[in-house]
Amino acid sequence: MRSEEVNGILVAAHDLKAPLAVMRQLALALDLADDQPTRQRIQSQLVSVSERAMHQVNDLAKIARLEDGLFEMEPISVRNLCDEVARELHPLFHYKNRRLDLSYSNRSRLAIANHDLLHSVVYNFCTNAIHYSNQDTASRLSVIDFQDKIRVSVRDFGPALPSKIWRQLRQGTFRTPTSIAMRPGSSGLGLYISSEFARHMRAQLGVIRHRDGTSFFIDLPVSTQTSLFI
Amino acid sequence: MSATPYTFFIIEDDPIMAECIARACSRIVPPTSQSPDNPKTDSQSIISPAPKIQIFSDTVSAINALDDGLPDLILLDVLLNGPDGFTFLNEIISYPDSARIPVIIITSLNLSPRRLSHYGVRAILNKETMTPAEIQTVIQCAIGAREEP
Repeated sequence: MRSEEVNGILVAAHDLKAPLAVMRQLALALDLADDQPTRQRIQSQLVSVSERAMHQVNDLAKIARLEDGLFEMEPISVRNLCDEVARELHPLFHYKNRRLDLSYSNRSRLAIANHDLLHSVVYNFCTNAIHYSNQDTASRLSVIDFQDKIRVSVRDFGPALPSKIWRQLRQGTFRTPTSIAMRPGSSGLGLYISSEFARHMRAQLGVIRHRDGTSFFIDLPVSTQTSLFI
Repeated sequence: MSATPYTFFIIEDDPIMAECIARACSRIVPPTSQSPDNPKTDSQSIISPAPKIQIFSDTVSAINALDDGLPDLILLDVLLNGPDGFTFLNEIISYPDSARIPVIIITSLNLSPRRLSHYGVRAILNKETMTPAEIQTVIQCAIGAREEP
C-alpha cells in the first residue's frame, strides 16, 4: 500500500473517531442528567452527532461506488437541496451554538448534478464551517449565478488553507485525505470527499481565501430544462 | 454557611464535548469548613455552591478572560483553532499568578504528563477513554494538591 494511501486511511480513521469520542461522552453524561429536559437534550445531541458520523461513513462508501454508474446526473433544484441540507443541519448548528445564514440570488434554478452527491458536498461544506465560526460570526450558505454556472458556496471564518492544498484544489489534483495543520478542527476528509464527488459530477470545486476566512464552492452546469419545481 | 464556589475554565473547541465536560465538573464543590463550636444540625444546612464554569472555544478569549479573574483550574484541549494549547500553556506560565493555576489537559493525543508538569499540567485525560467520574477525581486531586499548605 502506498504511503499516501496509508496516510489517507489514518486521516479518515481520525476523522471518524472524533464523533465517536463525543458520542461516548454523551452516553456517559446521560447518567448525570437530573431531569427529563436535560436527558432529552443529550439524546438529541447523540442523534445529531451520530447522524453526522453516519454521513461520513456513507460518503466514503459512495466514493468506492462512484464508477458503478449508480449516481446518475439529473436536473436539480439547487435552492431546494440547500434548504434540505440547512434543515438537516439545523440541530447540529443549534447544539454547537452556531448559525448558518442562507443567501440565494441565482436566476438559473436548475443545475445538472446528482442529488446524493451534491447533497453530500453541501453538507460537508456546512459541517466544516461549524468548526470555523463562532456565536458572532455566522457561516453563510450562498447560491449565485457565476458566469454560465450555478455556484454554491459556504463561507466560514477559519484560518486560511495552506497554499499547497489550495493549488491542488485549483488543479483538480486533491486525491487523498490530507490533514490540514492550520485547521485542526477538520482533517481534510470532507474536502477530499467533496472533491471526488465534484469530479464525478464534472463540476468545479474551489476555494476563495478571504482576509478573515475561507469560502468553499462548487460550480455546477446550469440545466436548460424548464423547472417544474420552482 | 457557604463556601466560595470554584471557578473552572474549559477550553475546548467542540461545544458538545465542552458541555459534557462541564456537566461532569458541575458536581465538584469546595469543602465546607465546619467549626467544632458550631456543628451542623438538621436545621442548619451547609451550602456547597456549584462551580462557576466558563467555556472558551479558543485560547485567545480564555487568555483575555484571565484579566477578569483567575480560575481555580483550567481544563485544556490541545488542538484548537488559532493558537493551540501549548501556546496557551506558554502564555500562562509567563506570569507568576497564572502560573500557579493547575491545568488538566483533555486530548486524544498521546502526551507525557511528566514532560508537561513544569507548565502546571497536573494530569492528562484521554478524550476517548475518560469518564465523568475520572474527570471529577482528577480535578479534585489537582485542586486538593494546590490547596495543601
